Amino acid sequence: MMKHHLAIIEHTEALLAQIPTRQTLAHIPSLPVNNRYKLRVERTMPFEWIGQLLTPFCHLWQADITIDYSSYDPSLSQTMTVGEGDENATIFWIDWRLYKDKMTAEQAVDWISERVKIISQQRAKPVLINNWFEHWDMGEKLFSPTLGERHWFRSLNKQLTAKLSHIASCELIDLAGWQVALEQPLYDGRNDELSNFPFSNHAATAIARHIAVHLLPALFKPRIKVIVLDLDDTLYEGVIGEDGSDGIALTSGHEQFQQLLLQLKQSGILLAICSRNEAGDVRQLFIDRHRDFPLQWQDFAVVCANWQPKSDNITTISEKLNIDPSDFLFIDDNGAELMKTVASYPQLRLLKAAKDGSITAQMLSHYPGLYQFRASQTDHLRNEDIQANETREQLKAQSTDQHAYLSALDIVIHIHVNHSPHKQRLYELSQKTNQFNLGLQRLSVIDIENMLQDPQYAIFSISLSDALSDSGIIGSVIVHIDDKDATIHELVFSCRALGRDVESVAFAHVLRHIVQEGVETLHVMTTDGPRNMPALRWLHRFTDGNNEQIELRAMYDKVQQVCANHPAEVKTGEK
Amino acid sequence: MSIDKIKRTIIEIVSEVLQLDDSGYQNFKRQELPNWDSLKHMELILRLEETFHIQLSIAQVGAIDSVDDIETVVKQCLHEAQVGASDESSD
Repeated sequence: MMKHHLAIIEHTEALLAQIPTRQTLAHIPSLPVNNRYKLRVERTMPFEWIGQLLTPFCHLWQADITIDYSSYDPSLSQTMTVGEGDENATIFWIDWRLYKDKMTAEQAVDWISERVKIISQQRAKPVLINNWFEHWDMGEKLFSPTLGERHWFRSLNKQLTAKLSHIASCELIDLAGWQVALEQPLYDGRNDELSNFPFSNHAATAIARHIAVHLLPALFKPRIKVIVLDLDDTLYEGVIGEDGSDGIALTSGHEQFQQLLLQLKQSGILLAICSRNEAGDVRQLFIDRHRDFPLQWQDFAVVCANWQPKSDNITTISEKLNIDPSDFLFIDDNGAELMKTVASYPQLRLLKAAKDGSITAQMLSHYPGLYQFRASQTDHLRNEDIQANETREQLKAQSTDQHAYLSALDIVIHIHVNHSPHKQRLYELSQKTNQFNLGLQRLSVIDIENMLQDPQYAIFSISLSDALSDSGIIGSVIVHIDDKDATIHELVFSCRALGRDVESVAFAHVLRHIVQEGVETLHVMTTDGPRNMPALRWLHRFTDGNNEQIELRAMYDKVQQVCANHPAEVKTGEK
Repeated sequence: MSIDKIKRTIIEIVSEVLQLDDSGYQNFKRQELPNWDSLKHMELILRLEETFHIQLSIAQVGAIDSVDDIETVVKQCLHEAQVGASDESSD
């Protein structure tokens, strides 16, 4: 395991700091993998020269990819006949030039959307589809955007983006965006003429890396939740204990790195400091440098600045945030420190900061597990909510008993049933929640969408607020009702909500709802996972370990008894 | 780059891409190796171009049917690049 971490640290810079050559990629040794995924590529142009480069990038997140290719068929008729396969995702790899003279951009988008919808429903797996980049030949310069060929592609890209945003689990491979980001042409006329492969070698590698480190981890794995940062020579240049807060340098590279971290924080990832320094010096640093540092003191959910081993501080951060270290990315410039820490937490993800902050920023911007397809409804609430936990702890310590503490919080729980605007958040909860997750179902958006349309399902989404913060949607319960029998398919609560018995109060409400529906017998689907013991122990209080054929009324009484004096106000429907 | 080094590099790339035993220089021919299909051919070209910092024309890509052909084309490209560079410096 340690060898594996060492190898990843060694090769990360070569793979992520710049676009590597095929030669470099061919010589990166294979790393152990623990997840295997199969992609189906429905194509009208070659994907092989991109597909063959995915492996070394995927090994960074311990994944291996195999690809099943369709034949070249501009009508994509084959896609309509292939049934549910064993692939984990489908890529539509389309040469949009083939359609430009045959249909309008709008017709092309409608045509592909129909196919994508059928595939995503038939296979219930995510779909990726490429848009198109602008390649200006000589003549293009002579025509306005409404007359030139680019008009068709611009229109296609705009409509494709709009259309896909309404299709569950369908995401874009943004070739138009990469044309801008790469700062050199994606197009290669020689490759196009020889093999109908319109991309340059450099572009093919960049696209492969984008798919392998951004898109695929975002489809298959929960997003990293916390970035833990060293300070000296990581967040800035210099050593605070030696140079003082005025002596350390915010180089342009480190400024870029801090800006990127700030963007990630705004997208819902928590930041924490783990530094060997005097706590007072660190606090003073953020006071003295508040004008030029993009990151401010309040941007960090937890600060551990002391002389303890860093693994102890990882434990503290994990306990304070109630998030397992396997959801952390730890960034430090000291390789030995990274290795010592990972010896205690083998699931920790590591990034060795470079001396040049811009290289660290480059690596971070390609680090697997940070890419986000869609903004979460609760991302902006998370940091404040976590910081409020500190105040809650103080309040709890000052309170005479649990009831007094809960009363002081003014808890309000909102419960919605079958509320489709919540589907994205329900999906996130299903994918991301590890500790309080009974069934570990890891439902896709398509699964949730199908359940929302099925009258036999009751899907409860639970929001929470108290006097200190609004936590947003923090839990869900999915129940399948079949006459007098009901099955709980999923019951998840975010770790941010735990410690206030909210889960029991919400569960009592859910049970009352299904009692009123005439249900008499309940089954609860559970899975023993590596980290969901808290949820299983909680359930055990009400079922004594028997999760089948539970007499619903008796269970409801038990749950009701546990939370009878809970002071939370429960509301149903819209806020 | 010396002639020997060019040959050695070419055979390394050919062996890697076509998954052959690297047992020294041999004039492998495309028609004799079923593994040397159009996909591998293109991959070879991309690897050669980035390694030698050259760009092959469509005609040059089409002219490659053996390791000897690769050597000829690569040398030709390197020579052209050299001539181009000396022309620029004499301006």
